[in-house]
Amino acid sequence: MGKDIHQRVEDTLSSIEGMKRAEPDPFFATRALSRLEKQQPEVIIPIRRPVWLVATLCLFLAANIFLLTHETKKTKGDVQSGETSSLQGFAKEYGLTTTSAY
Amino acid sequence: MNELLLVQELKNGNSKAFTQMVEAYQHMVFNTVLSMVQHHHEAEDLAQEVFVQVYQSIHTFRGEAKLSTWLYRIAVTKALDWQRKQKAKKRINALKNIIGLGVKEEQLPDFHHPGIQLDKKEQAAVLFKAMQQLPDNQRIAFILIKTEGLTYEQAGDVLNVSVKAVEALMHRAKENLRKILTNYYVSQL
Repeated sequence: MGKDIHQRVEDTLSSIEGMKRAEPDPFFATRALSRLEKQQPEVIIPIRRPVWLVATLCLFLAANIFLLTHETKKTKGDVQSGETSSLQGFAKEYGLTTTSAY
Repeated sequence: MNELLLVQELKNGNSKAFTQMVEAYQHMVFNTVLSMVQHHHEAEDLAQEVFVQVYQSIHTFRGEAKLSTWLYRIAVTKALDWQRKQKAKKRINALKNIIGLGVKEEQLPDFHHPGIQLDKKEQAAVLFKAMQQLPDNQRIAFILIKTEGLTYEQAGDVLNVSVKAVEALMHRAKENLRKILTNYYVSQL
């Protein structure tokens, strides 16, 4: 019985000797191409190292903060000069300048 | 078209080169994946994914290995990933069954490789089933050498190990298969 099992095991082990390759369906290549066309192109991230990613982010933030503060200052200055000139105009119109008042 | 030219055309994004690559390598990729996953429909699906992945990541191919070696590596990795996912699904289903939420899975029929001679079909089905119980590296080596007909050197290139390591893997694979098959035939008595 042991010899019989041993023989069956060896026969089973050699049962795939000389086997042929399995072939895919005839339209395999067409289907693979249509799958490729359906898939979205890979998203390419040019910055791969985290340190560069963080540095770029910091630079972007710094540029934004700079622009924001710069613009705020400019706007404030414009508003102030605008206010002054409108006040002077108002005083001139109604003869309220210091020279004309007294 | 030779391999170098084909790789260059693939890197240029030429879709005709993609079709040529598929036509040239479809049998080896499909046969490898089929021998591993042992399911015709899934094997076709995975083999297509292999080619799509190769096309999309061809810019990372440095030409240090042959294109066929690279294809084998991706095919083997994809097949292993699929099997891991299947095992995870089975575990979840088993857990669901314990708490009474699962649906009983149907036992898959024996796998019959289409390239096996008719008179050896039954024995080969038993062997393919036994192969599923081998550790991953032993199974890959066994499949590449026995079903794909690669030399030990070629299998070593795919597995990124030496020829001696492949010899050791094959020796252990055969020993393990002998044990599994002996237990199987003893249980059949």
